[in-house]
Amino acid sequence: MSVRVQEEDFSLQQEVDEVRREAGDAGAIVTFTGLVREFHQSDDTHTVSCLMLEHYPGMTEKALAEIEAQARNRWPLLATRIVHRVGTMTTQEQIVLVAAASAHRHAAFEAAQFMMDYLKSRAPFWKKQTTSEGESWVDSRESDESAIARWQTPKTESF
Amino acid sequence: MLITVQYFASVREARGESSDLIELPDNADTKVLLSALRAGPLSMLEQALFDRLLVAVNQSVVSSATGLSADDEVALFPPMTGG
Repeated sequence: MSVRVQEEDFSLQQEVDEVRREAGDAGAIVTFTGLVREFHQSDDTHTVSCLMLEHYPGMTEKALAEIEAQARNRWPLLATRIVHRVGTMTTQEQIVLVAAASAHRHAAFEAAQFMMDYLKSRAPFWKKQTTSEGESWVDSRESDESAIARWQTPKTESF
Repeated sequence: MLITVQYFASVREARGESSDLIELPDNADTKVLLSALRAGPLSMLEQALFDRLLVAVNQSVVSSATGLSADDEVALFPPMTGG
């Protein structure tokens, strides 16, 4: 398991290869890659030329490690990885990678989604976008909170 | 006691500083700290932004009034927008 916060871009292939080696006899690896969009929020009419990600050094790594630990506590995972970039990025660049490996696909799919859902609003990152109108901080969304709420209500396993 | 409060993102920009040193009574909690900041260095923040601020003590967000001591690491920031 590992979490990293870095300015430089990452290689998806290299990260998956490392997760695969770490996971041993995994039957499934799910990866999610987040990219910088040209229209960041649905009500935006101005295209984003650049995105700056600020974070809280120290707390960020701690929060990501806690999210990873919660996922590993909840599903039988063989390997996990979170890589999050900070600093300045342009459209279509990679921002974040989440990977989860397990014996079977359901645990890997769910754990990857769980880690992303928590990372959006429980790890101290803040996005600032630059458009033709200037710079503005990106607002948090209600939908990010409801994405977390859904993991907090007890449910019966569907498989 | 003296508490150092770090600011991030829109709070840091609005304040124009990345931290403040605040004098508080020895038994103060985060609620007392927020009142002191509101009356002092953060008096210029829009109410809507101030009401949504999150407080972290020793790198964990606290949701209710939490007792403070001088060596605590305290930070104030808007809702997080990672991913």
